[in-house]
Amino acid sequence: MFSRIALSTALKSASRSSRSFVQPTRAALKIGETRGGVALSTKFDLPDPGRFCPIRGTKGIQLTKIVATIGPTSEQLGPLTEVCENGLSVMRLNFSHATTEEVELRLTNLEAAEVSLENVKNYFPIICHFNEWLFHIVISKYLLLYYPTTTKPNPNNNDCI
Amino acid sequence: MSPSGAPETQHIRSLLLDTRGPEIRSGKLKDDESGHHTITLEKGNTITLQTSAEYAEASTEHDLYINYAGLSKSLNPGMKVLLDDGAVIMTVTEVGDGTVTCSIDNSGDIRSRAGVNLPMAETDLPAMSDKDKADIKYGMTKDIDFIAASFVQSAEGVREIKEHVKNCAKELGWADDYPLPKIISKIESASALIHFDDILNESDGMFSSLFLKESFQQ
Repeated sequence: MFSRIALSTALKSASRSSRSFVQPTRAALKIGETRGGVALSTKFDLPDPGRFCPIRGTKGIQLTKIVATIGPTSEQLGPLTEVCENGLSVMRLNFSHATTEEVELRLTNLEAAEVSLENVKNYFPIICHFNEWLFHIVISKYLLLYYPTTTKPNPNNNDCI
Repeated sequence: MSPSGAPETQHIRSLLLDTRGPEIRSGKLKDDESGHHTITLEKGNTITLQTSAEYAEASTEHDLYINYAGLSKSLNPGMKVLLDDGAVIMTVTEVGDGTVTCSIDNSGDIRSRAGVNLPMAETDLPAMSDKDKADIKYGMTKDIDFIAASFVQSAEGVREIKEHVKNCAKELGWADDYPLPKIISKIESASALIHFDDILNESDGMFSSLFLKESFQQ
Protein backbone atom coordinates (compact mmCIF):
# COMPACT_ATOMS: atom_id res chain seq x y z
CA MET A 1 0.00 0.00 0.00
CA PHE A 2 2.70 2.39 1.02
CA SER A 3 4.67 1.68 -2.14
CA ARG A 4 1.67 2.50 -4.40
CA ILE A 5 1.11 5.84 -2.69
CA ALA A 6 4.80 6.63 -2.95
CA LEU A 7 4.81 5.63 -6.62
CA SER A 8 1.82 7.81 -7.38
CA THR A 9 3.41 10.77 -5.57
CA ALA A 10 6.66 10.24 -7.46
CA LEU A 11 4.87 10.15 -10.81
CA LYS A 12 2.86 13.28 -10.03
CA SER A 13 5.95 15.20 -9.07
CA ALA A 14 7.64 13.94 -12.25
CA SER A 15 4.82 15.26 -14.41
CA ARG A 16 5.02 18.64 -12.68
CA SER A 17 8.74 19.02 -13.10
CA SER A 18 10.55 19.29 -16.38
CA ARG A 19 12.73 16.33 -15.43
CA SER A 20 11.73 13.22 -17.29
CA PHE A 21 13.35 10.82 -14.87
CA VAL A 22 12.53 10.21 -11.23
CA GLN A 23 15.04 8.25 -9.24
CA PRO A 24 13.11 5.17 -8.09
CA THR A 25 13.55 4.13 -4.50
CA ARG A 26 13.05 0.73 -2.97
CA ALA A 27 9.82 1.93 -1.36
CA ALA A 28 8.46 3.43 -4.57
CA LEU A 29 8.69 0.48 -6.95
CA LYS A 30 8.44 -3.24 -6.52
CA ILE A 31 9.50 -6.02 -8.83
CA GLY A 32 6.79 -6.54 -11.46
CA GLU A 33 5.29 -3.06 -11.07
CA THR A 34 5.35 -0.73 -14.03
CA ARG A 35 6.04 2.94 -14.33
CA GLY A 36 4.63 4.77 -17.35
CA GLY A 37 3.82 1.42 -18.99
CA VAL A 38 7.43 0.26 -18.76
CA ALA A 39 8.33 -2.47 -16.34
CA LEU A 40 11.12 -1.67 -13.94
CA SER A 41 14.27 -3.47 -14.94
CA THR A 42 15.45 -5.57 -12.08
CA LYS A 43 18.49 -6.98 -13.85
CA PHE A 44 21.61 -5.28 -15.04
CA ASP A 45 23.44 -6.48 -18.10
CA LEU A 46 26.81 -5.52 -16.67
CA PRO A 47 28.70 -8.53 -15.37
CA ASP A 48 29.53 -8.53 -11.70
CA PRO A 49 33.23 -7.59 -11.60
CA GLY A 50 33.55 -9.39 -8.29
CA ARG A 51 33.02 -12.69 -10.05
CA PHE A 52 36.06 -12.38 -12.31
CA CYS A 53 39.08 -14.51 -11.58
CA PRO A 54 38.20 -16.05 -8.23
CA ILE A 55 41.34 -16.18 -6.14
CA ARG A 56 42.55 -17.80 -2.99
CA GLY A 57 39.31 -19.43 -2.00
CA THR A 58 37.48 -16.12 -1.74
CA LYS A 59 34.30 -15.36 -3.63
CA GLY A 60 36.01 -13.00 -6.06
CA ILE A 61 38.33 -10.06 -6.38
CA GLN A 62 38.36 -7.70 -3.43
CA LEU A 63 36.88 -4.56 -4.94
CA THR A 64 36.94 -2.42 -1.81
CA LYS A 65 40.40 -1.48 -0.66
CA ILE A 66 41.15 -1.53 3.05
CA VAL A 67 43.53 0.90 4.70
CA ALA A 68 44.66 -0.49 8.05
CA THR A 69 46.75 1.32 10.61
CA ILE A 70 49.33 -1.10 11.89
CA GLY A 71 50.31 -0.46 15.48
CA PRO A 72 51.78 -2.28 18.47
CA THR A 73 48.97 -4.88 18.58
CA SER A 74 49.22 -5.87 14.91
CA GLU A 75 52.88 -5.34 14.00
CA GLN A 76 54.13 -8.82 14.87
CA LEU A 77 54.40 -11.33 12.05
CA GLY A 78 51.51 -13.56 13.16
CA PRO A 79 48.79 -10.92 13.48
CA LEU A 80 50.13 -9.01 10.47
CA THR A 81 49.96 -12.11 8.28
CA GLU A 82 46.34 -12.58 9.33
CA VAL A 83 45.59 -8.93 8.58
CA CYS A 84 47.14 -9.31 5.10
CA GLU A 85 45.28 -12.55 4.50
CA ASN A 86 41.99 -10.90 5.39
CA GLY A 87 42.26 -8.09 2.90
CA LEU A 88 44.73 -5.38 3.90
CA SER A 89 45.44 -3.29 0.79
CA VAL A 90 47.25 -0.31 2.29
CA MET A 91 49.35 -0.30 5.45
CA ARG A 92 49.04 3.04 7.22
CA LEU A 93 52.08 4.05 9.24
CA ASN A 94 51.21 6.78 11.71
CA PHE A 95 54.32 8.90 12.13
CA SER A 96 52.68 10.90 14.92
CA HIS A 97 53.52 8.07 17.29
CA ALA A 98 55.72 5.48 15.55
CA THR A 99 59.48 5.39 16.03
CA THR A 100 61.85 4.45 13.21
CA GLU A 101 62.48 1.06 14.85
CA GLU A 102 58.75 0.32 14.92
CA VAL A 103 58.36 1.28 11.28
CA GLU A 104 61.31 -0.94 10.30
CA LEU A 105 59.75 -3.85 12.19
CA ARG A 106 56.37 -3.37 10.49
CA LEU A 107 57.91 -3.18 7.03
CA THR A 108 60.09 -6.24 7.61
CA ASN A 109 57.11 -8.19 8.89
CA LEU A 110 54.93 -7.02 5.99
CA GLU A 111 57.50 -8.34 3.55
CA ALA A 112 57.74 -11.65 5.44
CA ALA A 113 53.94 -11.94 5.64
CA GLU A 114 53.61 -11.32 1.89
CA VAL A 115 56.28 -13.86 1.06
CA SER A 116 54.75 -16.52 3.31
CA LEU A 117 51.24 -15.89 1.95
CA GLU A 118 52.27 -15.85 -1.70
CA ASN A 119 54.54 -18.88 -1.35
CA VAL A 120 51.82 -20.97 0.18
CA LYS A 121 48.92 -19.96 -1.99
CA ASN A 122 49.94 -18.48 -5.26
CA TYR A 123 53.43 -19.34 -6.30
CA PHE A 124 55.17 -22.24 -7.96
CA PRO A 125 58.66 -22.45 -6.57
CA ILE A 126 61.40 -23.55 -8.94
CA ILE A 127 64.74 -24.75 -7.65
CA CYS A 128 67.81 -24.24 -9.83
CA HIS A 129 71.59 -23.89 -9.81
CA PHE A 130 73.35 -20.66 -10.40
CA ASN A 131 77.01 -20.05 -9.79
CA GLU A 132 77.30 -23.10 -7.52
CA TRP A 133 74.42 -21.93 -5.37
CA LEU A 134 71.03 -23.50 -5.22
CA PHE A 135 68.19 -21.01 -5.59
CA HIS A 136 64.50 -21.02 -5.08
CA ILE A 137 62.95 -18.94 -7.81
CA VAL A 138 59.42 -17.84 -7.11
CA ILE A 139 57.46 -16.32 -9.91
CA SER A 140 54.10 -14.67 -9.83
CA LYS A 141 52.41 -11.99 -11.84
CA TYR A 142 53.45 -9.49 -9.20
CA LEU A 143 57.06 -10.11 -8.46
CA LEU A 144 60.08 -12.31 -8.81
CA LEU A 145 61.77 -13.49 -5.66
CA TYR A 146 64.89 -15.54 -5.37
CA TYR A 147 66.74 -16.63 -2.32
CA PRO A 148 69.46 -19.20 -1.66
CA THR A 149 68.47 -22.44 0.02
CA THR A 150 70.55 -24.18 2.62
CA THR A 151 70.81 -27.30 0.44
CA LYS A 152 74.21 -27.96 -1.14
CA PRO A 153 74.18 -28.02 -4.94
CA ASN A 154 74.02 -31.45 -6.54
CA PRO A 155 76.88 -31.71 -9.11
CA ASN A 156 74.94 -34.31 -11.13
CA ASN A 157 72.00 -32.05 -11.65
CA ASN A 158 72.64 -29.01 -13.80
CA ASP A 159 69.09 -28.39 -14.88
CA CYS A 160 66.36 -26.55 -13.17
CA ILE A 161 63.83 -28.78 -11.53
CA MET B 1 69.65 0.45 -5.00
CA SER B 2 68.39 -0.95 -8.26
CA PRO B 3 69.64 0.41 -11.62
CA SER B 4 66.78 2.95 -11.73
CA GLY B 5 67.81 4.22 -8.32
CA ALA B 6 64.59 2.94 -6.77
CA PRO B 7 64.50 1.21 -3.39
CA GLU B 8 65.13 -2.53 -3.59
CA THR B 9 62.28 -3.65 -1.39
CA GLN B 10 58.97 -3.23 -3.13
CA HIS B 11 55.84 -4.46 -1.42
CA ILE B 12 52.78 -5.89 -3.13
CA ARG B 13 50.56 -4.05 -0.70
CA SER B 14 50.72 -0.29 -0.59
CA LEU B 15 52.26 1.79 2.16
CA LEU B 16 50.80 5.03 3.46
CA LEU B 17 52.89 7.42 5.51
CA ASP B 18 50.73 9.55 7.77
CA THR B 19 52.70 12.62 8.82
CA ARG B 20 52.43 14.22 12.22
CA GLY B 21 51.98 17.63 10.64
CA PRO B 22 52.78 21.06 12.03
CA GLU B 23 51.65 20.91 15.60
CA ILE B 24 50.78 23.15 18.47
CA ARG B 25 51.43 21.90 21.99
CA SER B 26 50.79 23.05 25.52
CA GLY B 27 53.68 23.79 27.87
CA LYS B 28 55.27 21.85 30.68
CA LEU B 29 53.18 21.71 33.84
CA LYS B 30 54.40 23.47 36.96
CA ASP B 31 56.51 21.19 39.22
CA ASP B 32 56.29 18.31 36.73
CA GLU B 33 59.71 16.74 37.22
CA SER B 34 58.68 13.16 36.38
CA GLY B 35 56.77 14.01 33.20
CA HIS B 36 53.73 12.06 34.48
CA HIS B 37 52.12 14.89 36.39
CA THR B 38 48.58 15.83 35.30
CA ILE B 39 46.17 18.65 36.00
CA THR B 40 42.41 18.27 36.00
CA LEU B 41 40.41 20.74 33.98
CA GLU B 42 36.87 20.97 35.36
CA LYS B 43 33.82 21.57 33.20
CA GLY B 44 32.50 25.13 33.52
CA ASN B 45 35.78 26.59 34.82
CA THR B 46 37.68 29.32 32.99
CA ILE B 47 41.26 28.95 31.81
CA THR B 48 43.65 31.44 30.23
CA LEU B 49 45.86 30.28 27.37
CA GLN B 50 49.21 32.08 27.56
CA THR B 51 51.82 32.53 24.85
CA SER B 52 54.54 34.39 26.80
CA ALA B 53 57.65 32.39 27.62
CA GLU B 54 57.34 32.88 31.39
CA TYR B 55 54.56 30.24 31.43
CA ALA B 56 56.45 27.78 29.22
CA GLU B 57 57.36 25.53 32.15
CA ALA B 58 54.79 26.71 34.65
CA SER B 59 51.38 25.76 33.30
CA THR B 60 48.56 25.32 35.80
CA GLU B 61 44.83 24.68 35.58
CA HIS B 62 44.36 28.49 35.44
CA ASP B 63 47.14 29.48 33.01
CA LEU B 64 48.10 27.08 30.23
CA TYR B 65 51.06 27.84 27.98
CA ILE B 66 50.57 27.24 24.24
CA ASN B 67 53.65 27.21 21.98
CA TYR B 68 52.05 29.13 19.11
CA ALA B 69 52.73 32.87 19.21
CA GLY B 70 49.91 33.70 16.78
CA LEU B 71 47.26 32.07 18.98
CA SER B 72 45.37 35.24 19.89
CA LYS B 73 45.33 36.41 16.26
CA SER B 74 43.94 33.11 15.00
CA LEU B 75 41.09 32.73 17.48
CA ASN B 76 37.81 34.56 17.90
CA PRO B 77 35.21 34.16 20.64
CA GLY B 78 33.02 31.11 20.05
CA MET B 79 35.77 29.04 18.41
CA LYS B 80 36.77 25.68 19.87
CA VAL B 81 40.17 24.71 21.24
CA LEU B 82 40.89 21.00 21.67
CA LEU B 83 43.47 19.55 24.01
CA ASP B 84 44.96 16.07 23.72
CA ASP B 85 43.09 14.98 20.56
CA GLY B 86 39.79 16.31 21.83
CA ALA B 87 39.98 14.79 25.34
CA VAL B 88 39.23 18.30 26.65
CA ILE B 89 37.24 20.77 24.56
CA MET B 90 37.17 24.48 25.35
CA THR B 91 35.27 27.43 23.91
CA VAL B 92 36.97 30.79 23.44
CA THR B 93 35.21 33.52 25.42
CA GLU B 94 37.66 36.41 25.20
CA VAL B 95 40.75 37.22 23.16
CA GLY B 96 43.38 39.55 24.63
CA ASP B 97 46.89 40.59 23.62
CA GLY B 98 48.76 37.29 23.56
CA THR B 99 46.22 35.64 25.83
CA VAL B 100 43.00 33.76 25.13
CA THR B 101 40.37 33.06 27.77
CA CYS B 102 38.32 29.90 27.38
CA SER B 103 35.54 28.15 29.22
CA ILE B 104 35.98 24.40 29.63
CA ASP B 105 33.23 22.30 27.99
CA ASN B 106 34.13 18.94 29.53
CA SER B 107 36.30 17.72 32.38
CA GLY B 108 39.53 15.87 31.72
CA ASP B 109 43.16 15.36 32.77
CA ILE B 110 45.96 17.00 30.81
CA ARG B 111 49.67 16.13 30.89
CA SER B 112 52.64 18.29 29.97
CA ARG B 113 52.99 19.08 26.27
CA ALA B 114 49.51 17.95 25.24
CA GLY B 115 48.54 18.36 21.59
CA VAL B 116 46.44 21.45 20.83
CA ASN B 117 44.01 21.57 17.92
CA LEU B 118 42.27 24.68 16.59
CA PRO B 119 39.75 23.22 14.12
CA MET B 120 37.97 26.46 13.26
CA ALA B 121 40.99 28.75 13.13
CA GLU B 122 43.18 29.80 10.24
CA THR B 123 46.81 29.58 11.34
CA ASP B 124 50.07 30.55 9.65
CA LEU B 125 51.83 27.30 10.54
CA PRO B 126 54.15 25.83 7.89
CA ALA B 127 52.86 22.94 5.73
CA MET B 128 55.52 20.59 7.12
CA SER B 129 57.51 20.49 10.31
CA ASP B 130 61.19 19.48 10.25
CA LYS B 131 60.13 16.07 11.55
CA ASP B 132 57.69 15.70 8.64
CA LYS B 133 60.43 16.50 6.14
CA ALA B 134 62.74 13.92 7.68
CA ASP B 135 59.92 11.34 7.89
CA ILE B 136 58.94 11.79 4.23
CA LYS B 137 62.53 11.32 3.10
CA TYR B 138 62.91 8.25 5.31
CA GLY B 139 59.61 6.88 3.99
CA MET B 140 60.75 7.33 0.40
CA THR B 141 63.77 5.13 1.09
CA LYS B 142 61.20 2.49 2.12
CA ASP B 143 59.22 2.93 -1.11
CA ILE B 144 56.02 4.36 0.35
CA ASP B 145 53.15 4.83 -2.09
CA PHE B 146 51.11 7.54 -0.39
CA ILE B 147 51.78 10.46 1.91
CA ALA B 148 48.83 11.51 4.07
CA ALA B 149 49.60 15.16 4.77
CA SER B 150 48.17 16.19 8.14
CA PHE B 151 46.65 19.61 8.82
CA VAL B 152 46.86 20.82 5.23
CA GLN B 153 45.44 24.33 5.09
CA SER B 154 45.90 25.49 1.50
CA ALA B 155 46.92 24.40 -1.98
CA GLU B 156 50.25 26.16 -1.41
CA GLY B 157 50.96 23.71 1.41
CA VAL B 158 50.35 20.75 -0.90
CA ARG B 159 52.67 22.27 -3.51
CA GLU B 160 55.36 22.67 -0.84
CA ILE B 161 55.08 18.98 0.07
CA LYS B 162 55.23 17.94 -3.60
CA GLU B 163 58.33 20.06 -4.08
CA HIS B 164 59.95 18.46 -1.04
CA VAL B 165 59.12 14.99 -2.42
CA LYS B 166 60.75 15.90 -5.77
CA ASN B 167 63.86 17.19 -4.00
CA CYS B 168 64.08 14.01 -1.92
CA ALA B 169 63.79 11.88 -5.07
CA LYS B 170 66.71 13.80 -6.59
CA GLU B 171 68.79 13.44 -3.44
CA LEU B 172 68.04 9.70 -3.35
CA GLY B 173 69.11 9.36 -6.98
CA TRP B 174 65.76 8.15 -8.28
CA ALA B 175 65.29 8.01 -12.03
CA ASP B 176 63.16 10.84 -13.46
CA ASP B 177 60.39 8.48 -14.51
CA TYR B 178 60.22 6.61 -11.19
CA PRO B 179 56.73 7.17 -9.73
CA LEU B 180 56.69 9.51 -6.75
CA PRO B 181 54.43 8.91 -3.76
CA LYS B 182 50.92 10.32 -4.14
CA ILE B 183 49.82 13.12 -1.83
CA ILE B 184 46.62 12.65 0.14
CA SER B 185 45.53 15.81 1.94
CA LYS B 186 43.87 15.44 5.29
CA ILE B 187 41.10 17.99 5.77
CA GLU B 188 41.15 18.73 9.48
CA SER B 189 40.41 22.42 9.86
CA ALA B 190 37.96 25.09 8.76
CA SER B 191 40.70 26.72 6.72
CA ALA B 192 41.14 23.52 4.70
CA LEU B 193 37.39 23.40 4.08
CA ILE B 194 37.42 26.97 2.78
CA HIS B 195 40.23 26.08 0.33
CA PHE B 196 38.82 22.63 -0.40
CA ASP B 197 38.62 22.96 -4.21
CA ASP B 198 42.16 24.33 -4.58
CA ILE B 199 43.55 21.61 -2.31
CA LEU B 200 41.64 18.96 -4.28
CA ASN B 201 43.14 20.23 -7.54
CA GLU B 202 46.66 19.90 -6.18
CA SER B 203 46.24 16.61 -4.31
CA ASP B 204 45.94 13.03 -5.50
CA GLY B 205 43.36 12.19 -2.83
CA MET B 206 41.61 13.54 0.25
CA PHE B 207 40.96 12.33 3.78
CA SER B 208 38.45 13.97 6.05
CA SER B 209 38.59 14.08 9.79
CA LEU B 210 35.51 12.75 11.59
CA PHE B 211 36.08 15.26 14.32
CA LEU B 212 35.71 18.10 11.84
CA LYS B 213 32.16 16.99 11.15
CA GLU B 214 31.39 16.84 14.86
CA SER B 215 32.88 20.25 15.60
CA PHE B 216 30.90 21.85 12.79
CA GLN B 217 27.72 20.22 13.98
CA GLN B 218 28.38 21.80 17.37
